[in-house]
Amino acid sequence: MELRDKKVIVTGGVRGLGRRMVERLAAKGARVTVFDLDAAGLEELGRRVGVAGCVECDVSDYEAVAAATARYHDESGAADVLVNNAGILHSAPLIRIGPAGVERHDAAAWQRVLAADLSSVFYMTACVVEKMVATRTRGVVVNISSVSAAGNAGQSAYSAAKAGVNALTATWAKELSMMGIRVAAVAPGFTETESTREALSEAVLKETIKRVPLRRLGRPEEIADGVVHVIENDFFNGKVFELDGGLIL
Amino acid sequence: MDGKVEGLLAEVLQVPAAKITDDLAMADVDAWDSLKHMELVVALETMFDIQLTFDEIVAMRSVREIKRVLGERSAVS
Repeated sequence: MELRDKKVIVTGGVRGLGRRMVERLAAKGARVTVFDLDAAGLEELGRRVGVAGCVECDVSDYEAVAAATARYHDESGAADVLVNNAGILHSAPLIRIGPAGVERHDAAAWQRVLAADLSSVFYMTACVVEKMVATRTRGVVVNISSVSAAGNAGQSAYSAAKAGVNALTATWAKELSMMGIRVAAVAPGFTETESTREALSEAVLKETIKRVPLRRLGRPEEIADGVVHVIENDFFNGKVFELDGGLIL
Repeated sequence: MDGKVEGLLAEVLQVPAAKITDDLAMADVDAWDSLKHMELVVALETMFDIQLTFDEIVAMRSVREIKRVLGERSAVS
């Protein structure tokens, strides 16, 4: 798909990797609309980056997604591309042995991560693809997964959510390809972002980098380029494009 | 269009051609679910070199309706 003048929705596009994706897609001439929770961030993004629109929306809330996408469709028609990037990074082991004894993974945190990282993908895709099908738009859905989908110690909820994202990617590719809609995923490894720095201690980060054959973190622009590649390559479908410096081989 | 639609339906739905009558509807064939319906739509579009609208796709829930929609298409083309 040629990106110029295409209508692209990016969720979670205010900060981090999502921001780079928005900038990269806008530079390619796409008409990017950003769905994000952060109202102030959206306002700043709208001023600095040439985006087509900013929509304040909690994508982990189905009713909010249904209402926001309905408004988008009324104003813009069907999107050509959906990038499901929004999510949260959460690290916690199943069982923690601390000064207070043995503690279980917090159930509320589990629910929060699954809602933000997995349910949001389902809600956005259902609402956006419904319109694509109704208008016979041959679109693309790109889900942002993670190498943690393979199972990452200390990330029960995040790993489970991302494994779910990979399963949805394959399922939807099988269901929607015949309508001309491609679905694929990009799975970044450890990347230079604020959320990586917030989630991992300096010591853990150093150990992680040692495990990457390229001995460095990924750069956000490399992940954004991966998203562009998946959109532009019309034969890439149902697969996960792993951008991890060779971490998982 | 004579026989082509029936042949395609039999092939896609995996139903004996003799069973493909005008009265046959989605509800009569277990395999004719929404995913199979989409497969059928794409096969019809390929066979007749057309692109069906969403309303037409929704309406085509029986062999009779499929033929009606395709008949209207050939009448205007």
